[in-house]
Amino acid sequence: MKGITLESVNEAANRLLFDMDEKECQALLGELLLLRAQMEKAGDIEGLDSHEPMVYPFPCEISSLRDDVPETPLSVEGVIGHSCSIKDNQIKVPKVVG
Amino acid sequence: MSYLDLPLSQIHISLVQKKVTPLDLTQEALTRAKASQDNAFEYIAENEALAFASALLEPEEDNLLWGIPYAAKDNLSTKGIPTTASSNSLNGYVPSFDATVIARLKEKKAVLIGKTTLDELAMGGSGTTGHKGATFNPYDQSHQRMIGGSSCGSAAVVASGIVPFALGSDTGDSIRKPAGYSGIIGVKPTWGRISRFGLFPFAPSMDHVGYFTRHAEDLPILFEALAGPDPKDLTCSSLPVQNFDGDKTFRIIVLDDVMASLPSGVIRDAFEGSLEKLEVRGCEIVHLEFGLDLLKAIYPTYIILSSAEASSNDANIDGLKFGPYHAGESYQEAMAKARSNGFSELIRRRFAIGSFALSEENRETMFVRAQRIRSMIVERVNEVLQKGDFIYLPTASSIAPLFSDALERLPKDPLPVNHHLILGNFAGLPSINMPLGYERGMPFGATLMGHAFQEGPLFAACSLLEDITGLGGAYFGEKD
Amino acid sequence: MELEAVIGLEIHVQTKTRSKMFSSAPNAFGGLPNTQVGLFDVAFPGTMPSVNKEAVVHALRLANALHMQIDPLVRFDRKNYFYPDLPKGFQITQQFHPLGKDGYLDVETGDNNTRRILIQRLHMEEDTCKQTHFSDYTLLDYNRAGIPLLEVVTEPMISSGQEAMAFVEALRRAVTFMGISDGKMEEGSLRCDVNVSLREKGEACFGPKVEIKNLNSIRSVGLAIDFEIKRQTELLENGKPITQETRRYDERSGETVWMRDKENEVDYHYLPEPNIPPIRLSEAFIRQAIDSCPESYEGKKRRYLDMGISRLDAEALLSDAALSSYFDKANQDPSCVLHLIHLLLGEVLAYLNAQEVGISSFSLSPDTLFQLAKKRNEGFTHQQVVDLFDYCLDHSGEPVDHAVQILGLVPPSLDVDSARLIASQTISDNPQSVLDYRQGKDRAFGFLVGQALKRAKGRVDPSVLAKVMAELLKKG
Repeated sequence: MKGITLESVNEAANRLLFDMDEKECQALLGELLLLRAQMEKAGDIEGLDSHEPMVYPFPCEISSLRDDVPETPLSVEGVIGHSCSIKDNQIKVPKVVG
Repeated sequence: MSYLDLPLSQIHISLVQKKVTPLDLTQEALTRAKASQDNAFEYIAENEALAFASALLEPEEDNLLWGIPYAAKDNLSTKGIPTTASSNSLNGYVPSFDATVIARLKEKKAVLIGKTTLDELAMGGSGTTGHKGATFNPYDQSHQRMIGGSSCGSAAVVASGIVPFALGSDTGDSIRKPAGYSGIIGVKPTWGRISRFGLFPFAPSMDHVGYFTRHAEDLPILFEALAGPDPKDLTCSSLPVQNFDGDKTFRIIVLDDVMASLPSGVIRDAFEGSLEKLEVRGCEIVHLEFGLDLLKAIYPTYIILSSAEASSNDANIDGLKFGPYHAGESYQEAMAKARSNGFSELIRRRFAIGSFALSEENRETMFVRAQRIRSMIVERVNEVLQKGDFIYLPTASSIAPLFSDALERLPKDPLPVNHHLILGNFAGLPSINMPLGYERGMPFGATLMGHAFQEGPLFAACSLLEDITGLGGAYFGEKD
Repeated sequence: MELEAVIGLEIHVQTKTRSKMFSSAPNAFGGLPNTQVGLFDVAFPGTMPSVNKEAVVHALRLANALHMQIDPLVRFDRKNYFYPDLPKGFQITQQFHPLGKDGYLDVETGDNNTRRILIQRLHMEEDTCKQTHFSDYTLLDYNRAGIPLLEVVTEPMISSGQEAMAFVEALRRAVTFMGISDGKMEEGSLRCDVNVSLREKGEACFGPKVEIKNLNSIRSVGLAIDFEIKRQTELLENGKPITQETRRYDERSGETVWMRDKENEVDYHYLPEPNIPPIRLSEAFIRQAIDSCPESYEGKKRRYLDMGISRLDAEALLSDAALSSYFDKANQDPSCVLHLIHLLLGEVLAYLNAQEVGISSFSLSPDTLFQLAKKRNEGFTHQQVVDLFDYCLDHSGEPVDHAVQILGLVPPSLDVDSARLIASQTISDNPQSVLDYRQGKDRAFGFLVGQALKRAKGRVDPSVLAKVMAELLKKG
């Protein structure tokens, strides 16, 4: 497991595009250390590695797919009307570079 | 005592007999809503509700939900009615579509009177992290005790008699815990029974739409209206609901190692008393052990899995398409400002945990391991359930905690009795909190969890329990 | 040192379904901004995906054409990152379980050699918004968000720009002929990113990889690779290191230009898509998708050659899937095929080029063109048919025979020499009748004249024909 440090904790937040102040990072640090200890302990449970990682609560395979029939799209207002930053019928953001 | 306090079938009869109208009921619900001091509403949809109710003139005899007022948790999309999931990041967002469950209730002519508070984006269990502040437990008029969460508002409005039922969502215990703390029935059906289309997602592999009510006989009525296949939600099941006509002599499983973490006291006595009464009624009590290692692994596993899924689900909130926009020099800055300002501390920490757990270096030992543990736990639950019809346990170790005791920090040593409800989310099994008793005037409950897609027998068992406790219909203020 | 280039291609193909990959909004080219968008495409909270059957069918067909191992259990994952053109903050893709694995495509590398290029994976995913950049802001159009994409990744084993171009061309042909995609790099329905590295010949490990983006044509792919190989070679020969980076191909200068460094792989926080359960494709479904696939380029080529069409003409017809499709519809009678091809590759293409449109916008139906070709069989001259062609272009919908009347066209009569030739051919073909005639059976003469008239298709004066026939028969 990657080191749980103030730096790696900040990185984790920044990857999700938000900031945390020092106090929050400290609190998070504590929680992650706790989680790590608990997960390490759980790692010792016998038979763990023979279990497949579970995605859904129970097997739920389906076999049907959606027919390729287009539906009426939203009006332009329906698409951009909820945004606070629009121009020329599109959503406007600061110039995207790179 | 008003019509609003009766079971649905009795309100229905009065409506059909025109002793009362939907408008009467709606007005009364709105009056109660506006008088409430529990901070349970994000938005009271007064004009919308009155307009809708006024148009309901001819009762539909076969439709038990016709004209019935209700409230919905504010993480369910409601067309034309603001929906914020109690988060500042979604202030001002007014959806242009209804969640499937909202549309179904609209079709049934139930009257939505308002959207209720929740822990922000459904990620919490104290009912304190919503952007309007804490929601109070109606049973504590001094406002010192929480009602729990995340469906705090919906629990409060049913527990204080404002509406006969309310919609909520349950990812880790978010319907059943607050139901336990406020003395009402809280339902989490089988995963996939009720469409999640329009539910703002927290952790889709564990999210369930559910509901609160006060009478066991209301359970199948609401279930029938809400459950059923939906092509808009690929995880929504098309398995038919089977009614249960059998004998209520069930085999009820109690997990002794969970019980061991319950301190002695009123709750333990009441629970054991209920076991005796169930035996008197012909039920068999089966004592089993779940496995302490697995029990202790439940909570950290849940935090990792739910935080990981949440960190992905809420990545669409960036202030660009909806919600408040924050200008910036670059797109990163604009998006980051919206997220930093819009999300409160607790959920930022949870997102960060998710981000950490999913990172390349940690994925295997955190996220994937949690998925394996879930698999082991679910295997064990299903194994245990083979020995009976339901698992039956106290919903929590205590009555509703004081706000001053609530930390919203990860507990160092999670008590199994406070986290066994998560088993229902890991395994997708139907699970319902039933009121059990009171301690110092505060309610506590017990939860029954049944086999997947077997809601019929579960409702019957709830009925039995209600009969035993005599607490059907109870809510705070009913005697007023 | 002797260096060799190691090139890998990552190609995205937009598929021509009628609705999007995970939503029912329309998938149509063009359209004003934000007019082809559904709730899911804007990622409004609470919206959920559904999977497009036709997109899966296209994916199966391509996987089959690329000789891949097909996974019948369709599973999707989320690739999480933040970018304004990514509404959900993640892209639904197939990271862990691509639909197709371990395939190949044989490409012609010039000088009659073919090379088998191995293909690592083929998977389904969705497209992003279109961004339009201005001086200090960018505008987002969600029409493109959610359009189905097929991603094809080759093994890093391509050795030159030419080979890379051949691969892209072969893939383009495959997807256009199977009706999967328009395959137009200039329009963005086929996109190619290239990874180029160099190593000493015979080495097993890879040198630092440089990614090249912004390639708008197949030709650019070749030119960019050639330039990059040269650039990296020069660096290495001068003892300078190659940095792992992303470069942009600049068409005007013909050079690759640094865009950004690529220190580490981006961490995409991959996670299985919890809102799409695994989808089990039955064997019957897979078989049906593959068996009902439109004819491939190779299949058509073989068929044309078998028909007697020259290799050159066949390749010309097959240079465009729509053109060969048109030809197939117009080719209703083998006896007219050469005339048809002549018209199609001649007059029709010239007309389309002058109008700057493709065959899909051509106003004459395949049947009309067939009717015109037939006229040649009936003795009308090439010029007469061209006149008819021009008339039909101006009077669309009018039948060809009507045009013949209006223009007062008549196939020319054959001259005496042609009549003599026809009579002589008829005599050679009917020795018994000639014998009968010489033995005094008059009816034989009538028979011979009738045969000759038939051969002339009625384009000669019967009395003229009888006269030359009699002359030839007298000669013995």
